[in-house]
Order: sequence, then C-alpha cells, then structure tokens
Amino acid sequence: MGIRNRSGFSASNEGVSRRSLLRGAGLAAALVPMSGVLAACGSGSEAGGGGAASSGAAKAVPLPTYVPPVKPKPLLEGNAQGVMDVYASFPMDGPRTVNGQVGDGSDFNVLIMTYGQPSPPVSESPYWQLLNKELNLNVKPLQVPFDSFQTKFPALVAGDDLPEFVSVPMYMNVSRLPQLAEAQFTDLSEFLSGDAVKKYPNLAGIQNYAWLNGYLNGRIYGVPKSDPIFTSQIYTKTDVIEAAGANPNPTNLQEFKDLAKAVTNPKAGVYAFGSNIADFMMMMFGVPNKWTKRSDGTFVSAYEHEAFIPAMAELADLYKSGCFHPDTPTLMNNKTQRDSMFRGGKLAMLWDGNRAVGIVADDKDVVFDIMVPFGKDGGKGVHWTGGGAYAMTMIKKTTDKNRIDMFLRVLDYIAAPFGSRESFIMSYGVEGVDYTVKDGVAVLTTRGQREQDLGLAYIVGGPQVLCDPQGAPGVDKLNYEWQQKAVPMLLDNPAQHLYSETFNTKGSSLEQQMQDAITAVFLGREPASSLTSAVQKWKVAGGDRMAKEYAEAATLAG
Amino acid sequence: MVAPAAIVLLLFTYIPLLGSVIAFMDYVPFLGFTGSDWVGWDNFTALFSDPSFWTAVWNTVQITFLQLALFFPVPILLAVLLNTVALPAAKRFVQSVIYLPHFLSWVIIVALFQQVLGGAGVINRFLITHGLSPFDVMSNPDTFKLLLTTQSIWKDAGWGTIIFLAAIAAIDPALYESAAMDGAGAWRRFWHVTLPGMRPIIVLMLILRLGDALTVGFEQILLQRDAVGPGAAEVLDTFVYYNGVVDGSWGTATAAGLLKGVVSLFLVLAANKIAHRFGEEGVYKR
Repeated sequence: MGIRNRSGFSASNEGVSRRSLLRGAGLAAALVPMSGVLAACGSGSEAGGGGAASSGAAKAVPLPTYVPPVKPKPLLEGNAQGVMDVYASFPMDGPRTVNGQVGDGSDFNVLIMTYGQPSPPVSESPYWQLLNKELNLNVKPLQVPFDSFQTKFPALVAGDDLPEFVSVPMYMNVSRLPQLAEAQFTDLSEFLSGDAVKKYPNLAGIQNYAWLNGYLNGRIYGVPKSDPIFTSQIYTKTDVIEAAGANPNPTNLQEFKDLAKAVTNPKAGVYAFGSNIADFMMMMFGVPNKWTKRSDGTFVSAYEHEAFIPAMAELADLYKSGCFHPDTPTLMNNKTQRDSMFRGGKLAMLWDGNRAVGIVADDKDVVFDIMVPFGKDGGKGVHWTGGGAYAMTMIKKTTDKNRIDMFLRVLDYIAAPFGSRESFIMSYGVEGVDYTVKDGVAVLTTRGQREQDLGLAYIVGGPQVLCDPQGAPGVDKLNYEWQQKAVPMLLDNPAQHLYSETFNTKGSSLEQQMQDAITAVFLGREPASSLTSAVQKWKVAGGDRMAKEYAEAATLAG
Repeated sequence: MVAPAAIVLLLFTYIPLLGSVIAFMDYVPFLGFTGSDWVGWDNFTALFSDPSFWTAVWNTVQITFLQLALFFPVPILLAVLLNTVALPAAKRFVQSVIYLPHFLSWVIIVALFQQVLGGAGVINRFLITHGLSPFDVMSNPDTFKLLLTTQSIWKDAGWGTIIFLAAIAAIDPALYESAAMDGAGAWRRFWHVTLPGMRPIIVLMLILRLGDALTVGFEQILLQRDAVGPGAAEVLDTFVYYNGVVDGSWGTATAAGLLKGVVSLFLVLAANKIAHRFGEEGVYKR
C-alpha cells in the first residue's frame, strides 16, 4: 500500500464532498479562536474573546516549528505549493527516524474512524503483532466505520466513554469541538509549541497549515494528519470516452456539455455521471471557495456570489438532459457502487476526492485520466483548496507528563516520513506474510492489505507522496501532472482557519439546508431561482452572523 | 417472576425518561447534566419557530395517516385469507413466504425496490429499451409517502398476520358449525363469527399502533431522504437525528422527541377512551 492511497481516503459520498469540506473547514475554523492565528504568527498575545470557545486565561502559543523531514530522492519532485513527490517504489532500506523505546508496554486504546472491514484480531495478525513489538505497546484500536462515526462519537462523549486517545476526522462535524477539547483533552502546548516539538522530529515534519487544524483556543490540543491541498476532481474513463468519439479534455462549458452528452448511451446503460457535481460547476463558474474577504475586511459567502445560481442552473440543465445515471438520487449516497460503475465503464466520469485516485487505480486494468479544471468560457479555471488536515489526534485530560510524552512518541513513530524504516514497517508489515519482494520492490499480499486496515495511518502524518507501484500503470505520474496543472488554479478559503461561534454551533444544519436546496435544484424539483430565497434564509438563520464573526476574527488575526 | 421484567423496565424505560430534562437545558454532553445551563422553554420556542420542524410534523402526520389507512388493514385481510386456505402444508408455505421480508434489513428492502422501481431498475430498463419514457418512483417526492407505505406493507404485513391468526384460532369452532347449520355461507360466517371474534384484538392493536403512530420509520426514511429531499421525507425522528446527533443541538432535539412522546400518550389515551365508549376493553379496563 502506498502511504498516500488509503491513509485517510475520504469516504464521504463524493470523496471529500462540499458538505464534508465545509464541515471540515468549519471544524478547522472552529478550532482557532479569534486571537489564535495572531498568536500563531508570533505575537504571543493573550487569547481574548472567542465566545464560548475561548479559554479566558489561556495564553496563545506559537505553532510547532517546522523542520522539513529527510526524504529519499523522488522520481518526480513535488513543490511547496502542493504538488506531491512521486516515487516508483518504497525504499526498503530507509533510515531509522525513531530511536529508543517508544511505548511502556501499556495498553494504547485509540478511537479511529475507518473505511474498510475491521482488521483481523491481533492473534491472527502478524502485522499488528509486529507493530505492538515496534511500539512496545498493546495497541487496541476502537475502530468506528465512517458511516456510523457521527452517531457513535457523540454517544461516546455523552457516556464519558471515550478511549484515552481519540482521532477525530476533520470533515466530520464534531459539535463544539473547541469546548470539548478544553473540557476533555490535554493541552499539548508545552510539549509541541515552538521548538519543543523538535523532541519529536517526525511531528516537527508536519506542515504548519496542518497544525492550524489542531490549534484550539490558542493552544495545541491535537496532532494532525496532514492532507493533500486539492479537493475533489473529475476522473474520466478514457476508454469509454474514446469509444464514444468524444473529446476527453474539454476547455469550456460547451465542450464539457458536449462530452457529457456524447458519452451518454441509455440503451447501453452508460451515463456521464452518477452524483451531484455542484462543486465542479461552481469552480468552473469561478465561484469562490466558501467565502470571499473583501478589501474592506468584510466576508461574503460564496452562496451570494453572482455566479452561484447560474452555475446551479447549468447543473440542473445537465441533469435534465439525461446525462446523469437514472439512479443518481440514490447513488449520491453510495460511493462504493459509483466506484464500481466507473470501473465497469457504466459511468464515464467520476467526481471524487484527490486521494480517491488510489482507490480508482487499485484495478490495474482500469484506464482513466483526471480532468484539468477550466473556466466556463475557456481559460484558467478555479480549484478549491481543502482544510489541510484529515484528522486530529488528542489525548484525554491528564497531568501525567510521562503518559503525554509516550503518546507523542507513539505519534512520532506513526508520523515517520515516507522512505523511513518506520514508515516501511507501517506500510508493509511482515515480509513473507504481508508483503513479498519482486524485482527489488515490496509488493503487498492480499493478507497484508487486509491486516493494514488497523487504521493507524489515519491518525497522524506529515507530507504525503505519490507511490502506488501496485496500482494502474502510470497512475502516479498522471496524478502528478494533473496536480502541476491544478496548482496555479488553487483558490483558498479565507475563513478556513478563523473561528465563528455560529458555524461552530449551527454550521452543519445551516449547510444541510443549503445542500438540500442545491439538491432540489439539481434534481429538478425546484427551479434555480429558488436558491435566492434559500440563500436569504441561510443568511438570516446564521450566514450573516458567520460573516460578521469571520470578519472580526480576521481583524483580530491581523 | 415479575422482578426481572420490572428491573429491565425500570432501567431501560423509566430511568432514561429522566433524560427528558435535556429539553429544558442547553445540554453539552461533555459538561453533563450538572454543567449544562438551564434554558427553560427556550428549546420549545426555537422548535416552534423552526419551519423545518413543522415540515417534519406535517410529513409525520401524513405518513401516519397513510399507514393507518393502508397498512393496518392488510395483515387483518391477509390473516382472514390465510384462514381460508384449507391445505395445512400450503398454508404453512404461504405463511413462511410472507413472513420472510420481515427479517430483511431496510438497506436490503430499499435496494430491492431500487432494483425494480429505480431509474435504472428492471421496469425502466424495459421501458428504455422499448423506446418508452422511463419514470422514477424512487426519487419522486410526490409519491414518496405512498412508496414508504408500500415498502412497509411488503416488509411487515405478513409478519403482522401472526397475532390475527392467533385471534382467529381462538374462535370457538362450534360457532362456525352452528352458523353453517343455520345456513350461513362463507361471507356470513366471516361477517358474523370471524370478524366479531377478531374485534377485541383489532381494537387493541389499533390503540397500540396509535401509541407508536408518530414513529413512522427512521432507517427506512434516512436511507431515502436525499433522493426526495427533506420537504417530502423529513419526519420527527430524522429531525431529532439531524438536530441532536449530527448538529449537537441536543436540547432542541430532545424537546422534539418529548413533544412526540406526549402527543403519542394523548393519542393512546384518547383511543382507549373511544374504545371504552364502543364497549371494548382497550389496552386497560376502566
């Protein structure tokens, strides 16, 4: 398994869907109180305000100092803007990045959200046994499937039943997380802030933008698993498109519509899409990434942008023209079936997260490409950025410094960078059981793939790379080239790491209302003009308050 | 002998009732009951001023009515029909077949309906290949409530016959023999013997059903909500789920749940009173 592939693949309905992202973004925003970012920039001022999320007396602390991790020379070099390094295979003789004993032989109970089947029990898993030995711990993951996390997590909180270590996926909406962190989890600031993090070199290799997600109330409560900067994109089934004689690389809206119509063949059961591509349409129309910060410091929602409703009107027209699979209304909730239909050639295009490329490419025979963003009238398109972190891992409140230190040592091990000995062990397990070596390249066995569903790769980590020697040929290069083209089009969300109390407490229901309104337009239940009143309702119900709070937070942050 | 049941009832029914105080609090799970603020009737005020709550109420009432009108009589009719099957082996076979869907989860049931009635289902594939216009029952908000009721009937009507078959079995065969001696045909025997014999159970089941009337299905609706939108599919249970579990507004969600419980209690009491007026025992005696 390449580190990138399944280490935190988003299982929301559309990979990282807009709703998920907004939740993630909101969560991220919720994590930083008004003075947090200012402090992160080095002011070291008192954390003031922040409403219910503020910690009155807490002093904001600097983010952990970034120390770039040592890495093997890549086949294709990435860049600081977000293009990921490409490697042909995992080096099997990488350097050791963790020295000394990691754990103290105790139990390591950790809550992890997972996507696959539960891993085999420790007695039947050499991979797990090896990991226990490496970490000198008895790792006991409490694996919660992604589709029940939103139910399970609040129940664990309400029942005061959270395990000692908790990993919270950023795109899941965890209500009042800043308050939850303050009440239940340990402030890790003195261990991680500034140069203190250097005691844990692999944690120091996590990028600052990822740490911002774990920065609550001006303090550091969580350790992040960093995320690629890209949101979702359209995968194209090249062979299906070529068979239809269509142009797989549209450069404007008209060409895109022509492509969708050309590949749709109801009699053969082939359709262009099987899910809502509202985000793609918005990007094509140049709609901002959730929020715009005006020159006067005010914030305006993307829903109020002039191109929002026209983009949705075009989306509805596309649906009406029959380019979407007839089961789209129900397929939107069935990612597995959509993936399978794409691979089987029943969907010519698939809207999914950037990391879904690993899932798509699992089938070596699948022939696909990734669509380069474009503007509706041609020219450069817009591609939204994500929140910067997939998950954040925290430790329950304790004053036991040894326990905290051990927790951070364990995370330091798990966060070992690509190419290191520790990372190889995490990715490949036991030779002869979990992987075999063919032509000098480690190849995971079926059993290895199964045993790796333990989920530790989801909880912490620094920069990810493209390394999928077992995937479809050329998949990493293909993704790398797409990333190079997408980087100049990246558009940030200015509210990404700002705190809004309204978003923190009402964000998801507000977003749910807007998503319901968009879905109604998409499926033709309501005209696009209905979005005007939906946006108005959204503004009155909390959107305006969010804008105000983001503006205040941005002012405080300087 | 009663003690274990009483303890279970106390632990899992009466003690959890105390949690209803959340309806009057700005409840934060990690602060608990003692750390959360009391807000009086604020949650109810917020609830009543929320249009989506009233949409959920209206949808719930509509589905309840449809289920009472269309679902409730079906097990009774099925039981009567089954009773007319003379061959025991055939009767057992039919019973087994109609019980079976009860054991399938809603995920399976919805998937089966999707395969048949969905946009790319068997029927629509047939229509498309013959050049006819397809129709999509599964994502049509106008017919969604009928679809829900149909799914419920398909899944549980057979299972629901059990109690009515038991009621029929309890009728004294001598009554049928006497009626037959007096020249009553099949229809007369049904009207004057079977139906009166089943009546107390029918009334009892109706009252019990009313107590649960506002619970119109959670998983079944949640699975299909996005396809038709909340305007057609949001019911009280999904409203509570989205507000409480997903959004963390435990107070508002509990207020909605409490309201639902109170209305259900009144429905049971009212139905029981009406039953007494008509000379039936109802759930409990006067």
